[in-house]
Amino acid sequence: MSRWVCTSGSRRRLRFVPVFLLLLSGALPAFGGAGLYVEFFKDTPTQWGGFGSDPNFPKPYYTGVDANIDFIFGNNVNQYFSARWRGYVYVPSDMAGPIGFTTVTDDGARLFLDDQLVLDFWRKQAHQTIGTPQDQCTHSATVNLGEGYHRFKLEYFEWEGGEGDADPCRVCWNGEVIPAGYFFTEDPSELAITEVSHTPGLFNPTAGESCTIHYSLSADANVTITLADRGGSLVRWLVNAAPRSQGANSEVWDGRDEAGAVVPDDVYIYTIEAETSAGDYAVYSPGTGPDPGVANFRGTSPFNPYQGQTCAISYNLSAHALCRVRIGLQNGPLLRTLVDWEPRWSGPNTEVWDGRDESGNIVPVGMYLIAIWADPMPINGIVTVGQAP
Amino acid sequence: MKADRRYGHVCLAAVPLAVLLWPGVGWAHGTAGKPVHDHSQHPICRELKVSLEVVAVGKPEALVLLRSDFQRRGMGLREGHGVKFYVNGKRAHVNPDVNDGSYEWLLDMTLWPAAEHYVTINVCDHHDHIGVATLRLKPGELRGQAPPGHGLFGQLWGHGGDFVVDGAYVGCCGNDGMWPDRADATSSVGVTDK
Repeated sequence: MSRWVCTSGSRRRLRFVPVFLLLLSGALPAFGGAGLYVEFFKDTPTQWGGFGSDPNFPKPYYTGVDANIDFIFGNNVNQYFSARWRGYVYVPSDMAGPIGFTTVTDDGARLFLDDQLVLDFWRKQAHQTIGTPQDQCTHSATVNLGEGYHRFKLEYFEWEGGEGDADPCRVCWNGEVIPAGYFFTEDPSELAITEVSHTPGLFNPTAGESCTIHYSLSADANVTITLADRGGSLVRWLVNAAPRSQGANSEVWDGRDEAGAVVPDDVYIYTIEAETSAGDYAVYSPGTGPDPGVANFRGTSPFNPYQGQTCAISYNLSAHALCRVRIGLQNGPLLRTLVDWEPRWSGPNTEVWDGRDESGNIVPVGMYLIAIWADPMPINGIVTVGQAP
Repeated sequence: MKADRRYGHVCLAAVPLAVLLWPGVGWAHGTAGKPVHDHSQHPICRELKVSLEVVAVGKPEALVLLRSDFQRRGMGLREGHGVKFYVNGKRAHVNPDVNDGSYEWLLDMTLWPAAEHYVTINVCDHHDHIGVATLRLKPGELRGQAPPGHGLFGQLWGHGGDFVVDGAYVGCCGNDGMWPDRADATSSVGVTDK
């Protein structure tokens, strides 16, 4: 009989879906807050626990935040993977002192507390033994922790599984699964910039529109927000060492540069820096989002530009992207660059080709190759429109 | 070695300033088979801007001196340019080492049918940025100066015409088929006049 209180573990079916899309949906999730950061990696059967040993998936195929660790991975898809949860666990005053930490995992697990390896069972182990005297999957250690936040990391891998082969992954303390609400992505006692988002993701300054950058501070701090172009050149000091209070804050950008001119259509990247009077410093500069996938790339064909017809080039992006679309002859010249690394939104997109080349001549009758490149968009990128010639 | 100019290699050496200024962005998403340089993150990584015009017509009138001016040169200011001329989609002339902001080429159309011909120039900066310009030319209907004593007329005419560098590597716009390389997706469309 299992001695675990947690008998209703959540069941997660791991899929190769671009969950990163959530990061770019305009409302960014908190970069600090409740839960643990989690990354899932794909491995090979011979390199189990490799954190991305599958050469087709060198980077995490899933990242996110989990409220706690109480999972059952149980189908054919969920095998040959490894995962890593990290963040902080909060020990309340009534639990301070020796705490019994327990992992229940099929297969292996390693638990780190305050960077110390406290449980190390990085091996294949079968869940069928759970609750029996031969239990291979349940391991415990007692760790003395004081009240407050402690660094937490669990590494886990699953080798082979199958339908009906329930593979648990749980972390408990003092006999119960550590509940949601005790895990944090950041140490709230340290200065942190969290819950960053900007709305809208695209706006037209010429039409009087603006973009609001939202963020939350874990403590009172002086805040500096800068906007830069793609090359990193400063475009605007939005606020410069301005005092801001703990909690939610926001700043508005009107789409103008330091000289007061509306910026050209492009993507602009903001960076948030905060510093307390005690000298604690935090910065928000997350980099680029996920690789955008391109699907269903095609153009209406044939079309007759000599009679004014145009070609609609349609495609789907799995994430916001900076795109280039070229048209030319296979094994011949490039004739037109329709889109030159311009921002495009996730989902369906359409470009219109009028059948003309860069010089405005209608191209000769024939078959033409169209090609698209899509690079990831900066997560903290704001797109401006309305200044196109 | 022209091979040293392959896309990606030179970029690694040429761009880091912008990357350093903006450390969160600019490098590689690391996808297998994709270049390690993110063009989209650098303002200089845009297509070149060039023009093409007939500057002189010789005798017979099918001898045409073409001139291309490079208005936006990108990395070509530092790395030089590769130039390719195509006539009716077929490669006609290549020069992989052009360091000036313009280029002239003598097109000999004397043996060509009287039909209209579609002349294209691709100018690259060896960093996968390409400028395009086109002309429609019809022998016998060209207007220009008489043989102007231009250097190219005398230099090339009588020496078998231009020099075509077959097989030479000319960076990103050089060898046939380079411009669509490393695309994330391709497709084909047909243009008709019916």
